Amino acid sequence: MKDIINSTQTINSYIDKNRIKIDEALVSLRLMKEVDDFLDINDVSQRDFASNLGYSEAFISQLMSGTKKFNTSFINKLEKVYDLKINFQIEIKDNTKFITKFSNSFLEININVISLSEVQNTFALENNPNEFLKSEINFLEK
Amino acid sequence: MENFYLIHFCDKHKFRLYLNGSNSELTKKFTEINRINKLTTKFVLVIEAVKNKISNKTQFNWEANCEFGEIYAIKIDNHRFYTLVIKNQGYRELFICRYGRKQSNNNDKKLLSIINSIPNITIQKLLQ
Repeated sequence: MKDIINSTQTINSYIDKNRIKIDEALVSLRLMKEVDDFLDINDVSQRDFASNLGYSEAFISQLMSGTKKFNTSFINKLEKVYDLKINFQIEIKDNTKFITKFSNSFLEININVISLSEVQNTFALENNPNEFLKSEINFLEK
Repeated sequence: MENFYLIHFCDKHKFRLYLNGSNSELTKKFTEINRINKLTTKFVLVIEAVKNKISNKTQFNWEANCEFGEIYAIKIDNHRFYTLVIKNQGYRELFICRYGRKQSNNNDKKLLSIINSIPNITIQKLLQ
C-alpha cells in the first residue's frame, strides 16, 4: 500500500513537473498516431518502415514511444518515400461561442446545423469558428 | 476480490487510472519502474497519450475483448502491464491488472493465461 502511494505521488508529481516536455512529446505522438494507422492500413511493419526511411528500428520505436520527437527531415522522408503529403491545419480547439458583427450584409444560415441567437446586429454561433470563417470566405467569393 | 487504487484521474478528459494493489508481482514491477526516471517518463507518456486518444500500438496494444471491455498492454520496454479498459458513465477507466514480460516463443502461453485470467477478476475500487 505504501509503495502504491509513493508510486502515485511519483507519477502525479512527474506530470506536474514535466508538463511542458510531456506536451511537446504529445505533439509528436499526434503525428505518430497517424503514421501508426498508415502502417497498419498498408500492412507495413515498423522494421520495413525504418529501413525504407533509412532509420534504425530503434529510432522509429523511440518516435512511437514519444521519447524522441519527429523533425522536418522525418516528414520529408515520409512524404517522399511513400508519395504522401502531410497536411498542417491550424484549428481553434475551443468550440465555444464565436461572436461577430455584420453590417449591410446577408448571411444564409442553416439553423438545423448550428444554433443562432440574434441581439440587434450581433450573432452568436455555437459551431467551430473555422467552419464559419470558411463559410464567410465562400460568401465573399460569390 | 482484488483491490484497485485510483492512482491518476483527469476530469477534463473523463479518465481514471487504477492499479491492482492485490497482485504483488504487479505492484513490485510498478514500483520498480517508478524508481527509474527513464521508465517513469515512458509510462507517463503512454498514460497521457491514451488520455488524449493519440496512443499507438507501440505504447498501448489491444490484446483481447472481454465482457467488461477490452484488454490492452501498456508497453514499457520489455515490461507489459495488462490493463482492462472499461467505459463507465462517460469515463474511460483503466484497470492495470497484471504484469507480464514481452512475448517470446518461450513465454507465449504464460502471457495468454495472464490475459485470460483478467476477465475473472472481481474488481473492488478503492479511493486512495
